[in-house]
This record gives sequence, structure tokens and C-alpha cells, in this order.
Amino acid sequence: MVRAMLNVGISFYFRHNSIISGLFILAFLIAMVVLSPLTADPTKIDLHNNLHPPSLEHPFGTDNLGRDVFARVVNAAKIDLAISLVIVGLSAIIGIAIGLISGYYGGLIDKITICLIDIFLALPELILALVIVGALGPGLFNSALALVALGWVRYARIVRGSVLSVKERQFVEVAKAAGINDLGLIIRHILPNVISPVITIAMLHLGHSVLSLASLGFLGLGAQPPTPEWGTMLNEGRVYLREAWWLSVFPGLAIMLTVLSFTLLGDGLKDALNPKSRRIAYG
Amino acid sequence: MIKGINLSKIYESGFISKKGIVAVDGVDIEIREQETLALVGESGSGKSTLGRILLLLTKPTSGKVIFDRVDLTRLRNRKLRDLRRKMQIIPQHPEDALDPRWKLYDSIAEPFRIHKIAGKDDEEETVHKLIELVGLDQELLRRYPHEVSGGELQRVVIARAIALNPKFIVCDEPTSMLDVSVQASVVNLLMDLQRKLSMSYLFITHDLELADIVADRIAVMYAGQIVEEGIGVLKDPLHPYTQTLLGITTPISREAITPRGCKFYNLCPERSSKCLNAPKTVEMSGRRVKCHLYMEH
Amino acid sequence: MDEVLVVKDLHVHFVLENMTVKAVDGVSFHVSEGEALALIGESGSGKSVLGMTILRLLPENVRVNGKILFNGSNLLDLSEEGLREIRGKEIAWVPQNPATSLNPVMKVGIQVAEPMEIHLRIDRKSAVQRVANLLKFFDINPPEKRVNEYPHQYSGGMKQRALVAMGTSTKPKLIIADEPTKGIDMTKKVSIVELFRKIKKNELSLLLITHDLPFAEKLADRIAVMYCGQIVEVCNVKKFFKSPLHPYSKALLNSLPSRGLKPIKGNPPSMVNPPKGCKFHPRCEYMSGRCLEEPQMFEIDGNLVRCWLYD
Repeated sequence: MVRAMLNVGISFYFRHNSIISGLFILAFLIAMVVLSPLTADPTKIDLHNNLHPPSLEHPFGTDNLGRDVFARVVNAAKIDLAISLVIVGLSAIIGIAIGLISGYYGGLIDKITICLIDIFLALPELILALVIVGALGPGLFNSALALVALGWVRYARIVRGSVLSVKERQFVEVAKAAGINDLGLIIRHILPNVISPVITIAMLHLGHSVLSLASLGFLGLGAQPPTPEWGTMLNEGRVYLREAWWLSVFPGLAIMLTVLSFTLLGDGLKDALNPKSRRIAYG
Repeated sequence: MIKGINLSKIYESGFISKKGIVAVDGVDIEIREQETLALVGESGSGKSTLGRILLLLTKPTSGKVIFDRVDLTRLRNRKLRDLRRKMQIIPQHPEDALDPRWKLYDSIAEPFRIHKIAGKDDEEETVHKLIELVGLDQELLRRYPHEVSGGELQRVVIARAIALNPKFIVCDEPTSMLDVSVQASVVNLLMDLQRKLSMSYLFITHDLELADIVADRIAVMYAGQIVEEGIGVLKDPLHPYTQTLLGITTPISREAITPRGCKFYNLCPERSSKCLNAPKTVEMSGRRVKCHLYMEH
Repeated sequence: MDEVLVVKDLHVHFVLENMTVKAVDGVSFHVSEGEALALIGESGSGKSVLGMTILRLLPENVRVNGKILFNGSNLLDLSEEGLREIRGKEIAWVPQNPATSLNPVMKVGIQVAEPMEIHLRIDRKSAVQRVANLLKFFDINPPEKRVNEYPHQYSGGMKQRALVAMGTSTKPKLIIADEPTKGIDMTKKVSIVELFRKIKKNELSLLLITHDLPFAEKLADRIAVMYCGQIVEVCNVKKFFKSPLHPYSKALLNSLPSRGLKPIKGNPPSMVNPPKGCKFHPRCEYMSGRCLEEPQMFEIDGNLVRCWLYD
């Protein structure tokens, strides 16, 4: 009995390994975030205990100001994850809206949108982000702003393309013949039929956002001290790489695991949602 | 009841060269109360475009559409949408005519929701009545389009089309994608509903035999123009094109259409030098024909 | 007269997760040399599956039983290699949708030449020359120019003629045409009839899979009617259109616009849960108690009917 369940479990795992692995890691990360209030105070400075290696009292060691690295990593999770979620959410809303309007109405709006999309996609995102944050000034808020300003493009492009084909379909004409107005048509008929690729894109975007945010932090343009953020911590730990490896390794691991989990989830979702790759024994 | 006056539709391509494809060319058409006018012609003759122009689903490049004495071409969007309750379309591909993500119940109920008629209970009752009217099982309402056959889908499309008691329906090749026996039951349903609900149909088809059974009057379309129209067109065709359609005569060559003069000139067995000028529509004993042969005076 | 194709007791079952669909349920028929047999059926009758089974173009989860004899050998026993010798060379297939059956980025001439290159082992140059002749034969003019054009430069009718040209290029013994008139204007059907009449003249055998009755009437020598996976009637064409035997055939003909557009009562049968006994009995005017038992084929004047009325 147990053996059978194990077999089913294993085969299920192999079929959906991306999603499951991604979910595991994600669960772990969320657990961290939830448990964060239980950790030590991430901002408590204790100069007598600085640069101590990992120990029972401080599982990830202490940094140059004696702060508990474990507490800092866990609290940074809150920031990195939450801000990334916001970035993705806002980008998606803006991008979908622009994609819908541009694809549906065409004309000048569409031409401008295509132009913007082409420009933004041609240039490397991080460089553009640097330019924007450089202009606005460093900080978490400005970083997020810059990433949203660059992030909507990926949604607009895919939504616009889908809208172009969906709006020619017969059921759209039939709905128009029934007297529906443009807004109703876009929201009730077109949107549900273009939304599925967006979910996968959003998942991958989430991983990408965490990385971008951390990168900006690493460059000193993101979260400013004393706010704990993985990228900023990496930057701070750079100087002490030789003597205190734990200052860089743990935040780095955290970034890696987070991005990995979202990427696995996104990849797995993409395959799961794609009807062609489903292994069903139909003709 | 619904009239098209001098309707034209030109599709332009090219920013500078402005090459135009004339889909509909100066058409006058009228459908009266409770009658079925069949619009026949080859694919590319413009019959689908004309049907859509009458419903203002496509804007005509010029001309007017008068529905119940209201000029649709001059109406503002909101008033037009309001009037849409009275005119509907039944398109050719039933599999694509309904939103694939909506349950069939919701697709039928949509017209009520758009026009904000009927509360939830009334809506449910009416939808159930409609599905019965078209001869389908209530159970189908819970399903999605991909779970249902072509013939059943077309019936659902019909149920939705009659939901708000329209006066006029454009049936655009409603059965050409259906099996022979299914076609028979769907067409019979349409005729039945026409009697019950006092509607008019513009029945677009390329099947002459079907047109003969279904229609009160027949209009024949060629290259964007109505070349002949009236009663008994198939039994006693006057226009040379209609005669080639029925196989009574054969077209003479396979060249392209001439832009000036009669559009049928290149293929017409009866052509003469007169035909290099555009013919006018002549009315004679209930029949209207656009041909020099009948323009004697 | 020799029989080119003999199908004996063919069963084709699709095995799905929790059910089996009997798409072809015990079908037997033959096509003689130089004859045109029209396989008539509506959607869900199994006729397309039958066509694909003959060409062995089915997906993997399909169980096939029975015999398909072509030139003495059972096609179901052949290896993939053996089949490749036959497909395109001895048995040609003219597919359903001319518009999507041609490669849009390949010149038409090269595509039409392909079967000849593969099966007749002639070089491309000679093949393309033959293609020009073929195109001329099928009224695709001017042939020298058309050989170098791409499918989008061809009209719908021309594409279909090109496909037929491709099919007949290797002088096959049998051509299987899958719904050649689907989606074609009534006004253009005449040219398709002529197209197929042309190939008939060259003593090819034709298996015409179609639901278009008027078209079958003009081309076929015999009619086989399929309903719910079975053949219910095999009849000489003139007799069929004058006085068909099976009640379904009668009802089908009466549902034509030219014969009154009378619908067949009831609904098309479910292939997943077909009626017990005679598959047509729930919709049949002449139904009696006996029909709950599955009828066998009866022979009347050289024609076959699967109906108890003819016992």
C-alpha cells in the first residue's frame, strides 16, 4: 500500500518535477518570511560581536556591525519578495491594459506602442534601469519604479499579439452584433482569451525582478542601508569576502534559490498549460 | 423594412498608391417584413460583405442603410447598439461563433445582460425556453462549445440570435459547414422560427437548390453588384450570369474582370459593344435585372 | 475485373483513458480496377478514419483488426518500408484542404515533382519537365510559368488541381480522395467533377470519401454508405439515386434541398455509446422489434444492405 503510494508519488514527481521543485523552494522561502518576526533584530548593532562566523547563536554569523546575518537574510526576503511582487503586479496591469488597447484600437496608439516595445526590447534592461535610477536617485522606491517602467513591455507585447488574432474571430463579431460596447467586449471576451500566456510570463518575471532588484542593490542604487536587502548585503559583504565569506554566501544563496524556484515554476507551468506537451493517449 | 441604398464598400490598401478592392459596388437592396431574401453568388462576390453592411457590422464606404425608417449610417454608437436588438447575424462557422471560454448558458444569456433586460430569474426562464425552442436538451446549457457538435452549436447560435426577438436576421451560409442531414434540420428550424416570431431573413448561400427552397425572392450577386433579383429567378433566369450559374450556358473564357462597363463582359456569352458601358438596373414584371439586353428603350 | 483494393472485416478502435471508440466496426468492401467507389457518410460515420487506416496514417493508440488487401498483400502486415513503396506510388492520396496541404515556402513545381523523384527515381530536371506536362493536362496555364510559382500565387481551384496532379504523377493504381468538395462553392463544383472525370479516363481506381451526394452521383460507379462505423449499403449508383435500399440512405437523400430538405428525425449517434442492435434504429421510420438485434448484410440483385427489411 505504502509502496503503491510511493510509486504514484514518484511518477507524479517526474512528470511535474519543475513545478514541484519550484513549489518546495517557494514554500521554504515563504516559511522564512513568515518566521521572520521570530528572528533576532536585524538592525541591532553589536560591535563587540562583529564578523563572527556561523554559530549556534548566529546561524549565519554576524556582519561588520555585529548584526545577525540570518535575521537580515530572512528580513530581506520580505523586502525582495514583496517588492518584486508589486513590480510584477503593476507591470502586468499596465502591460495588459496597454496591450489590450493598442491591439484592439490600432491606429496611432498602436504605432506608438510598437515603437516603445521595440526600443525597450532592443536595449538591455539593466542598463536602462541604471539610467532611470541614476536620474531619479538611488533607493528602493525608485528602483521599483524603474523596473515597472521597463517591465510592462513584456506583457504588452504578448497581449497585443493575441488581441490582434482574437479580435478577428467570429464570436467577437457575434457579440458586437448583439450590441456589446467596446469596453464590455474587451473585458468579457477578449481579455479571458488572451490571458493564459500572461501567467507563465508573470512567474518568470517574478524571478527576473528579484534578480534585477538585487542587482540594483548590489550596485548601491537599490535599498539603502540599514534596510536589509540581498543585493545590498552582497555589496556590503564584498569587502570582507576573504575574512567573512558568510556575509556574501548566504544572501547570494537566497537570491539563487528564489530565482530558481520562480523559474522552475514558470517553466513547469508553461509545459503544464501547453496542451501539446500533455502526454495523453488520445489520437 | 430594411433597405440598402447605393451601398459601396471599397477596401483600400497602400498609403500612396491607394489600390482599392471593390467588395460591394453601388447595391440597392430591400428586404420586406417577414420575407426571406436569398443572396446567392460565388465566393468573393461580396455577399457576406453586403450582409454585414446591412447590419452595420462593416461600415459602408458610401450609401445608406435604412432600418424601420431610421438611417443606420447616421446613428450614434449608443443608439446603434440599442437598435442591434432588432437585427442579428447567424454566421458560417458555428465552432467559432461562441466564446470558447463561456458556458453555452452564458452565451445565450449575453444579449439580455448587454441590454440589461430581465433579472436573474427571468433570464434563467427565458434561456430555458429558448433552448427548448431550438430543439435542444437543457443539459447542454452547462457545457462548453468544444464539447458539442456543429449542428448543436448552430442551434445554440440561433437561440442566442432570437433571444431579444429581432425583426431581421442575416444568415451567412449558416449550413455550409454542416452535414447534409443536419443542414436539413437546421434550415427547417430557421423557417419554423421565422413563422413563429415573424422575422425577415437575408439568407446568404452559394447553394442554389437550397436558396430555391428557402427563399421568397432571390438576388444574384456578381463582382459586388446585384445583377438580378426577384421571384422565380432560378426557374426563369434573365441575366446571362444567372444562366451560367444554372448551367444553362457556359461562360466563354477565364480572364479577369473589366473595371469599366459591365463586370461580366469578359465571360458573357451574350456580350456586345454596348456592354463596354455600365448597364443600368431595369425593372420588369416584378424582376430587376442589370443588363443591356433588357435596356432596349 | 480485378479487384484493386479489398477490405475485409476491418475494425479500428481508438483506445482512450476510460473508454473505447469503435470508429470502424466491421467494414468490408472492395474497389475494382478502373472503378470509382464513393464512400458516403456524415461526420462521425468513420469514413475519414477508414481512409486513413488504408494509408496507415493513424496515431499510436489505435487498435486495428482485419485485412486490407492491395495487389494481393495485406497492407496491415507491411513494414514501414514496405508501406513507403506503396504510399504515393501505388496508392495516392488527395487530401482535404488544398490550401493547407501545400508547403507555402516551396515552389509548386518542386512539390508536385516530389513523388516522382522519390518513387520513379528520376532526377529533378526530368521530373520538373514532367510536372510541366502534368500541369498542362490539368489546365494550370501557362505551365512553364506556373511550375516556378508558389502556392499563394495559385487560386484555390488551381491548388486542388496541383494536388491531384501530384497524386496522379506516379500513375498509381488507386487514388483516395478525401472530401474533395469540402468548402468549395457550388458554382465551382462543376470544375472539380471534370477534374476527377479526367483522371478516371486513365483507368485509375478511385475511392471517393465524401458527404457530398450530388458530387458522388456524377462521378461514382458504386456507392457505399457508412453509418456509425459500419457499411449499411453498397449499391450501384443509378439504382441508389433512384431507389436506395437502406432507410438511412432514403432519409439522407430526402434531406437534400433538391428533394425537399426533409430532416432525419433524432440525433446523430454517439460513437462512444452507440445504439444497441441496428445502429440506425432509433431514427428509423420502419423500426420494429427485430431491430434490437444487429442485422447482417443481405444481398439484393448484386447490391448489399444491412437491414432486416431485406431478410
